[in-house]
Amino acid sequence: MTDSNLLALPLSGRQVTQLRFDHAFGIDFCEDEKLFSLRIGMPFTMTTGLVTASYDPEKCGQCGPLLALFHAVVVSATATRKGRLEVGFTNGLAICVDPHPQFEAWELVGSDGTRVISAPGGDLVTWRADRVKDENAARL
Amino acid sequence: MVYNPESDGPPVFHSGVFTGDHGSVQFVQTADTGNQGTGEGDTSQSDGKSRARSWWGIRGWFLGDDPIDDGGAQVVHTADTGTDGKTTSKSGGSLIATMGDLADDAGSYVGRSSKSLILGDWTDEKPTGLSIGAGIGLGVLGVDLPMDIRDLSHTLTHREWSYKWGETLVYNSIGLIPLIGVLKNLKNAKRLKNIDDAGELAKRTDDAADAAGDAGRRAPPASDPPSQTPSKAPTDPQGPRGPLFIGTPNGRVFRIPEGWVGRPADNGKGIVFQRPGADGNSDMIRIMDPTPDKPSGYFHYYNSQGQPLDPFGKPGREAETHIPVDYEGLLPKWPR
Repeated sequence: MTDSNLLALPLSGRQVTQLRFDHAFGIDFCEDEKLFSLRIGMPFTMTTGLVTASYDPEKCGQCGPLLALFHAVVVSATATRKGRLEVGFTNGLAICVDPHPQFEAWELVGSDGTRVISAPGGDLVTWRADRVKDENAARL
Repeated sequence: MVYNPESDGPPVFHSGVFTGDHGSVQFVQTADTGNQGTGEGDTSQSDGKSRARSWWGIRGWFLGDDPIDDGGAQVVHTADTGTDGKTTSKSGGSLIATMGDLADDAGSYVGRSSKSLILGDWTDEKPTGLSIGAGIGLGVLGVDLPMDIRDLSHTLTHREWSYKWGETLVYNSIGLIPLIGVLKNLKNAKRLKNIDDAGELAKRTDDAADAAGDAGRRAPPASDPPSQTPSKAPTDPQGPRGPLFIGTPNGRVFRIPEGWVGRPADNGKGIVFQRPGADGNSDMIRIMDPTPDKPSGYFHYYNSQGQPLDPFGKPGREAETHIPVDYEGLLPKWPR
């Protein structure tokens, strides 16, 4: 936590290596065999310069501009205790996902056992990485 | 699962295989179960991990196979968190009912009943509800004369000159009288505790059958286009075991596939079960605590490609794959 209300996600400096579209919008970060996957299941916004646009993962046809995230490098990634996600990139792009009152807005999963979920109603549920650190170290 | 919250009380559940400091046992609980968690654990594993399984405190049953292959030794650990925030633990034996136990019990019960029916007073085996019922049935049919002679011969050859012996002699003598001889079975009235045992066994077997039936309605996950979701589940060094049954405070029981590994959230608001070695969200079940919109809690389950599935087993959007715990429909693609 950078302060009492923010959780620093372990994405800073990581490059987007894959974008996925199914019923959600997925962003994968892979580096040094350490993998993280961000899955956004609810409408969110992406800011480009002074322009902020909303995107619905369900409407893939309107998500073309999101391809600009490919190969972008994360500057900062934080989550609030209320489940809001903010990720900034070196190319000036930024995405923001607000919590949803009924559903999980987004989820981050890491190969080190990290799991962060924006729970319905504005809450954050986390699984720390260190709990499986030894097992992953043995496997990788 | 036959469960009555009024008579059975709130179940105490949530367990799995947890990683912790060597020498400690961790139990997961939900907010609704208060500050007490009960389960079975082992603190002496060489890998420093504790293992636990579901424990239905009211019934005194475990809802899964023993995760600790300790050659049959069973230890129940109870962890209590006091008002001072300190956790103490205690150990002791208790009734343990796994699916295998139930089968053994059932076989033993029939065997004991048969032995009692065939050998009568010539065996030390106490009569059971089944053997008494069969004896009455044979008496009504009038084909129990050999059994009456058998018991009377035993009485006459084991003379004790006691009230009990005299009582037995009277009963066994009455047994020689057609039809009225059925009253002979009254001598077993003092041993009717075994009938209670039979009823208890039947109740336990019914519950186990319900749980198995619930699991049986579910089929393997579907195959869907691959994704590249990273991260892997911890590998279970103990290897595959029997399925684990996880309960929630409102009585819903989830069947967790054999060998899957569980890991609770840091704040206890959810628990993940995943196939050992699985990547990311693939082959995973995640059960979450109640929310304002889902007062019973909710769960997600994923296919082998890491995609969340709707109740019908198809990958879907969040609103379709976000399933309330009190969902009562079938889950044909539930992981097995």
